[in-house]
Amino acid sequence: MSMRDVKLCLLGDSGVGKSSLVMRFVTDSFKPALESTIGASFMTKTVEVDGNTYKFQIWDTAGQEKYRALAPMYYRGAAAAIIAYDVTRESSFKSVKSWVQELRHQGHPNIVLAIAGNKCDLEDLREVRLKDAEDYAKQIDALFCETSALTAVNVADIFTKICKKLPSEDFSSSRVGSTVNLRKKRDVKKEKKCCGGSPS
Amino acid sequence: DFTDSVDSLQQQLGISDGVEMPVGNKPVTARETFVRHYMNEREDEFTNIHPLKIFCGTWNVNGQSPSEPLNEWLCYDEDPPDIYALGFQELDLSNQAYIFSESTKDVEWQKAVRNYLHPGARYRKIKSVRLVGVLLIVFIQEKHIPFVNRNFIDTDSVATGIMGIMGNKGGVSVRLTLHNTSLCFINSHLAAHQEEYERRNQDYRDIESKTKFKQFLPPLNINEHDMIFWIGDLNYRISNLGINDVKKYADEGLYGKMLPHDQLSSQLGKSDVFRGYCEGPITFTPTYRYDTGTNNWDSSEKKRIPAWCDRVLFKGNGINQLRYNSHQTLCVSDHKPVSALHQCNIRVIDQTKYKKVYEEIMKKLDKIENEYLPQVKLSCTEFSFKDVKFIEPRSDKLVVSNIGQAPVTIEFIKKLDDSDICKPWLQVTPSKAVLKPDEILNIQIDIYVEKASAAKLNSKDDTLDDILVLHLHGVPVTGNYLPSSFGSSIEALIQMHGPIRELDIPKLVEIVNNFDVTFTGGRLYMVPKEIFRMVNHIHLHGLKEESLFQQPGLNSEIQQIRECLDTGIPETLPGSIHSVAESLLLFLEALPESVIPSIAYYKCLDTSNNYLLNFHRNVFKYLCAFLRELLKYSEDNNLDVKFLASMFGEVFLRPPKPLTDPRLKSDAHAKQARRMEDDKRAAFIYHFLTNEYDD
Repeated sequence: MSMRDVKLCLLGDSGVGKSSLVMRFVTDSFKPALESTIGASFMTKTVEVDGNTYKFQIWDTAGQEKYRALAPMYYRGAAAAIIAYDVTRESSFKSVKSWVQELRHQGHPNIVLAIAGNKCDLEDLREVRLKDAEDYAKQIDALFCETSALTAVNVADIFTKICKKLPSEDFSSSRVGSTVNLRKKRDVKKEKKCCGGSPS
Repeated sequence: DFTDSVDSLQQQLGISDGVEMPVGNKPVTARETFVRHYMNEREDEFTNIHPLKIFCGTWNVNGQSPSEPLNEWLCYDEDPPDIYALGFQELDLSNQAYIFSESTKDVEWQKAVRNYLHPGARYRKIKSVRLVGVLLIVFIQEKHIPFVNRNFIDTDSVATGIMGIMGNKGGVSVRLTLHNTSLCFINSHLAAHQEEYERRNQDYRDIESKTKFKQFLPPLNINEHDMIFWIGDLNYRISNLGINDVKKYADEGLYGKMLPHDQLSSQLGKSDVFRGYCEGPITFTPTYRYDTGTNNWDSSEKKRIPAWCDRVLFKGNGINQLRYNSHQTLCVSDHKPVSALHQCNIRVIDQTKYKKVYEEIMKKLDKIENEYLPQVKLSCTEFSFKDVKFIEPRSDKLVVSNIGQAPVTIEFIKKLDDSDICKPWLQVTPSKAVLKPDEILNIQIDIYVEKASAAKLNSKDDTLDDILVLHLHGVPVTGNYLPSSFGSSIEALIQMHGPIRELDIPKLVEIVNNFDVTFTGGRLYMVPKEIFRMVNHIHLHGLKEESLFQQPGLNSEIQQIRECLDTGIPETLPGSIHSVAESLLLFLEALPESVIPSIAYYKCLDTSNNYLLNFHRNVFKYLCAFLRELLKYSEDNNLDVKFLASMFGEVFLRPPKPLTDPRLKSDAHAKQARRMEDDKRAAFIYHFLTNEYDD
């Protein structure tokens, strides 16, 4: 079994359900009223796909505008990013596009992008059409799923899709270089939350 | 042709010969270590036991070529063994074979062994590894090949000669994983001579602690294997029995009378030597020392007392020794070969059950990891100060409590591309702290706008807002390292007039960091007094010492010598000349910048001009003069110029970067390049050992 560490960053507007997606994926649970994330929080989850083991190091960032400037600290060096929006909020889908722009400029050139339209269980309140989001994702060559952290629909799938899309040559090179990388990551691994206080 | 030369280079380096199974890189992460641990715990749930037979054979061949059939040794059993692990010692005794020449004996014995493997099965070689005269070959029945993970085959060798350079004694090892059982074979040739059992014990400890299978990250140790077989000419003798008694008991088969006097059996299980290893009952006559070509005890004038030098030890669960004996009909050497057959419970994996357990463990590990992530609670996540005025300090308090299960380091860190953790008008104290679980810390947050920031704030080029990023880490591990002259630079050492430990730390830091020695004004030593003391000691007491720089020192004495150099107590260096000689080499090796600085390394390889920096030149001149002096007494100390050139070439000249990446171990080109560099280094030093140094 070969093990690969995958640094993944979750981005998206405040309240779209990033932390809930992480919680569903990592602990397979759901809490209706999670506190707003401060700075960023960290969790790990290991999955097996096609006989390979992938260990996700998930950085769940705060969506609130005041933390936006911190996002590069978390997506730089990330192998994958999930940009989440809320299917019941058109404005959150617009933000996806600006995240994509930013990642294309500042992120790793080979970063695997995935777009998650969360809260797809709320069909009645839908503001973003499935087709529109799908087309957009295809156009920018990103993975796409509509997800529900509440019902667990497609949550694990989006991570599996990411594993499959990770550049395969990375596997060998990351193995060769992992003496260095792993040690570095071991330090990072233990960090969970970052906070910001902004005197104004 | 090219392939031949690569093969012979590999053989010279004693690393491997004709790789029959490719080796891949397989780093093991910390997590994989845990996975392995938990999988091991639940192994019974997903494995079935298959008993396989492992044959271990050892023979000190005394530099002879194979000239008699080996079936008496290798085909002793009716059924073909599943695995053969064959260890040879003294494969090549030719003078100085250990440094310069290659071995044709290796090829001869490999071929001979292949011809006499059990005809009842087909075998493939897993790997062989040779260190000068110590060779280990491991074969496995072809039918098992699919169950040997190629990525997990690895070898290592540890020389126990002086500084690990000599390699006439030492240990070589091969490890593999068969189905779900990890196997490790070690073949060692430990120090000789009746009285040297303490030296043998140390050789064992060195091999045991230095053997690392570097294919794995972190490297695997010998003890991390399910089944370990340690074979070889361990050289333990029979003490406190006269030669005539030993011969009489041996000839009458009264082994029970001799065994209590056997240096190894009397220690096995009672000391740290070969801890945990078992040996089957010895029911065969001593395997050493015979007149070559006969079954007669040594009749030479040295009159060696017969001994069970050649042994097979094993360690691990599920090993059942079926037989253990010598093979008296083989007479080509002054030792008899020994072999043992073991029935070993190899664990075979049930894939479906395996996968289920593996997934459960992954889940469990994630859970543990996530639960133990550091967590803190903050009293406030946003601070807002109303109407901040010029040079009017304002402050507030942030309370951080560790609500996680482990100690945590909290630290305010710089944001990307920023040079400071916050803007100049803001200050946080402390900016870093360690909190035990449930511990609470008050952090003071101060705002103070003074002239440096005021202008920008007035002009609205800056605003009074900032984000502080608080990072959480696990807890750092710290220790207290006592400064040592070993590992200090020449530049620092020549400034130190007293022993290094007598300096107070700030002074030491100043000396170590102040490379510009011309400005210190103090009196400088021509060469570091530590080097002077060791050289002077050898000069006074050891010029005519036999095997100088060839016989290793004792670790305990080297530690005493280090203490003496670092503290100045006692006044004269303790320990034997050999320990002082090895300390000198260790000292030179530990210099942060080698005697010939690395910037001059390649220039030196190409030419023999002097490119040396001042202080390094002094040390180099001094040491070369000393080595030339030593060579005047070569009849007594058996040093020769080639040997010294090669040995000191290695410590004087160290390349700017490691010569080759260890991961390129199997790359023949890299090895060839390294070999050529070694020769050039020796040639460079050779020049200075045969000519007076001339500025």
